Amino acid sequence: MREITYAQAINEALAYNLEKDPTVFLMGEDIGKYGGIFQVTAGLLDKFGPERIIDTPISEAAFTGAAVGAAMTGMRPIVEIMFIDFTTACMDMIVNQMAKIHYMFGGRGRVPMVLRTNIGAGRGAAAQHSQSFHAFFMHIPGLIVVAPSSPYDAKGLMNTAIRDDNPVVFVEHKKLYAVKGEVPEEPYTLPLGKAEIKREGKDITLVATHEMVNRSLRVAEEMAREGVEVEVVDPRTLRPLDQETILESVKKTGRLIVADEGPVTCGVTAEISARVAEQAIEYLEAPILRVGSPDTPVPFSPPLEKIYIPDEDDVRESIRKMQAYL
Amino acid sequence: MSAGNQQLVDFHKTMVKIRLFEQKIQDLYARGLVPGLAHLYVGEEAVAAGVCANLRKEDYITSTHRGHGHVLAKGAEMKYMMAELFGKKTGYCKGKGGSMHIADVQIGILGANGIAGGGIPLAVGAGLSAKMRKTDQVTACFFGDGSSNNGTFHEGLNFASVHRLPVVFVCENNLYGISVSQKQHQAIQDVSIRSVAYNIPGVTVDGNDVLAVYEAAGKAVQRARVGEGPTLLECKTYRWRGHHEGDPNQGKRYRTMEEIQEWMKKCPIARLEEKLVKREILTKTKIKRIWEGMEKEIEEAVAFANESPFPESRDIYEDVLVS
Amino acid sequence: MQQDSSRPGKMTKARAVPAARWKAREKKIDLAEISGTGPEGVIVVRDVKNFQPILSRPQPPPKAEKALVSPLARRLADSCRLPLDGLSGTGSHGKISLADVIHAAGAAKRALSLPEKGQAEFGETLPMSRVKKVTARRIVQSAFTAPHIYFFTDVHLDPLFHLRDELLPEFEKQHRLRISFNDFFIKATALTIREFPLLNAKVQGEEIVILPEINIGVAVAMEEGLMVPALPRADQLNLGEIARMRDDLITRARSGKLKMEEIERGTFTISSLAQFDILFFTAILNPPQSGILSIGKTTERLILKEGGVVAQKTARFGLAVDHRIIDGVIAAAFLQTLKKKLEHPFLTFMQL
Repeated sequence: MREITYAQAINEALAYNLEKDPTVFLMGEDIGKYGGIFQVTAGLLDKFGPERIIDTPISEAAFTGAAVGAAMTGMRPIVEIMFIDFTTACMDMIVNQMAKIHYMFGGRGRVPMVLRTNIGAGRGAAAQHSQSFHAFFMHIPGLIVVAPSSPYDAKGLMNTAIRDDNPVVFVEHKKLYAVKGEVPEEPYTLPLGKAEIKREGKDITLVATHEMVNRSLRVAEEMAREGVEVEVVDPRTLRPLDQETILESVKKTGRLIVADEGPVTCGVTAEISARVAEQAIEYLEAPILRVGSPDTPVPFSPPLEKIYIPDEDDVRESIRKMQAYL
Repeated sequence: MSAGNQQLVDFHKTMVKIRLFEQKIQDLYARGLVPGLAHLYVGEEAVAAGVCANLRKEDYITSTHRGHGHVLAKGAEMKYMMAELFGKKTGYCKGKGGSMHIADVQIGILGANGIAGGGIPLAVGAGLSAKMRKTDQVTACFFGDGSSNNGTFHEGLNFASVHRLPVVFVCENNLYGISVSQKQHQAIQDVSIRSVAYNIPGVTVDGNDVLAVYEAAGKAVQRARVGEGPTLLECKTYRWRGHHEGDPNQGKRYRTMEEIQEWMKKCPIARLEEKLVKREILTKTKIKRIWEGMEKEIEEAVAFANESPFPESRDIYEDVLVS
Repeated sequence: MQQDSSRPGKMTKARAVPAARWKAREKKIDLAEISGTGPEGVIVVRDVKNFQPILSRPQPPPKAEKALVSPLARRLADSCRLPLDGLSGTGSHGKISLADVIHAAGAAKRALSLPEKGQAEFGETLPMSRVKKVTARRIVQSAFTAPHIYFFTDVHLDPLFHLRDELLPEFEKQHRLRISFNDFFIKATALTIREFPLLNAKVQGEEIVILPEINIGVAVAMEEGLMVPALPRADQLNLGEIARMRDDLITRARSGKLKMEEIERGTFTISSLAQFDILFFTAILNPPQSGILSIGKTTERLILKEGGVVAQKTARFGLAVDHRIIDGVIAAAFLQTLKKKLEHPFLTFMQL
């Protein structure tokens, strides 16, 4: 099968839906002529024209809110917020409008839109362009929050997200955009709200998101040679979370590590840990360990940024700690 | 285009409806029979009536926290509104929204909005949607002088202007944003001059003269319909009641009783009635009948709301997502 | 609980991972007895799995195909139904000796936390089971609330023996049960209570409540203590019904399948130590009842009768009553009447 990048995979999903459905259109800063800051929307302007690929002014509240209004009145907009850091400029539109309208209107107003953005440090973009606070959105009822970790997952999940009548926050990862993977040419969908076990193992359950999935898989491969079997579970959707799959895995292994790039406090890892502690405590043979970013803003200096990012070393260290309980 | 006689009668009816509805809410609220918050439109009726008279059923409006007037003028039914205000299951939002979120997307009401300026980008989106779908639907976006300072106002007008969207931005300048007077919150007197910054037409009218509002709004709606883009229409008006029911500072801390009295003399309904009687379109008796008839309709709406059930406990989980 | 040496007098909880805690609870193992092999000595699941009370090593040692066992040890192990696997022998070449089996048997019983009748190790402290605690409490309540007075009489049982012998074959054919002496005693007692209602009463505040039905309880000795299921309306049951019900209740009492109601409905208790060499004994009232009959062993005695010496089968019956309700005269009359009924069984049991 051919290999394409995560960015290209998303591009294919966008193109496919733009082609199929005239109500789909894109809005965002520099998505048209520039092709998107990470080239996810490259080529779409030429293909679909400026009426459907709209380069917006720098006004997140306006165009995110406009997406909500357009979604309410028969369109299926896909908005790009350049970095998740900028969602703070349109937080009202996301939290108070996008997420709430369907519920507040008693089900009589739908917002079938997708808000694409990205997380992840590692490009020296510093504190205001490198955050990973996708947990904010996991916290808001009324939103669906998706977190693809591979090109294959990204294309399938994007296709589903666009067709879904709910507001979806589609959280991509900066470091994954250039990663290649096998992706079928034909369109396909992947279910929202369903986790995937990326690697089976009987000793330790490692629930990971985004690039942590890939880092975990690399470390799991090493650990297997030492006789430690790590099961890597990728939730793929953060809200609603597929807790069945996670609990089943923990019941099997009795040991849980949760890895997400956001800061550990009140993060995705905190929620998953809490659910497991609530519902499977009698199966736990070890404390729950979390791997994430430290509770600091993202530093600029490269050696500091390297420490900041939870990488293979951090995953390995948590598995070592867990080995004492094997 | 100026209004014909029948239209004047319609304006009158709409304004009486709004006035009596709001006063009924005022009364029920004072007696503790309505939960939550109520932001009443008493005194501003002409703006809603005048603007919405230019709109078709398929046109859109976005409204504010003080939205009963707009919503009624756009054609919402009183009984479903009343039920929603009471928090009953039969309300427009199944009791889940309340006063500040009343909506009926079917007749183009994209919701009252609890966030100051929150409806502006939504209106821009509706305009964008209409343009993309190539219909001639127009969106009327209501907001106050306070919201005209909010980022969403500037972002929204900018976006609508650059894309020439069919949106009429209606600023209801009632001289206060809660307790802060216009003099304190902006350096300008006429909000409409901000249109220059976005290269769109800006008009100021007497918001208590329904005919003036009707004509100015009519021009703006027409421009939008033929693709000439947005207009900023400022209607100068005044709210008789406090910011919300239970506002303790009404006339004490941030407005004076004199000022309120002055504006009450300029009552939009009284002014129209004077015209109607003078032009012999309606008699004083007929007018009285209209008020009485409307009272009755409102009582029926209240009865409907009273008899309706509350949502069940499990309904709290309904409609979080589309299933 | 472990003593926290840093804070003398303060107990600290054992450190265990959740799954280990759960497992220990399931197996009724006190975590304090387990040493943990997890990080910083935390107890992990394998520690609980491998825990055996008598072994000092966490793992059972690998054994040869056939463990060396002394014949005495094997005999005792069989009789105790103790499995020999997992026992470590202290004899030469790891031979399992009698002492090893005794030790293991004792420890196994300790793990079950239920001491056998009279069998406990010297110096051992046994926890009271919940049933035992409740029973103890009630006995104390009875003993120290109701002033007990005791009466004894010897009952001549030859006539009853004759009756029983006559009845036995027919009875067994009809009811597929052997009639027992207790059945006669139950019926006779119930009939006697009909004449002495105060023996079927309870104290309630400052009132005496005569209970409406005569439900005779039969004391059944169990490991945990006495269980007293009652036959309801025993005065109205015929001997066949009494025998069937007595058999059923006692069987279910022994297998722990009684319903609370069957115990709580009792109004008078009969307790028998007839199978032991006990001539007579005093019993404590079963609260809130006001009377209890204690029956000793039937023995052949030489009696002076009409100037001659005859051998007679007799049993000494004891009666304890609550002196708040029943005075000596009534108690004596009751016991005398019962004795007469039992000594003239044909008359008594004619309404079969």
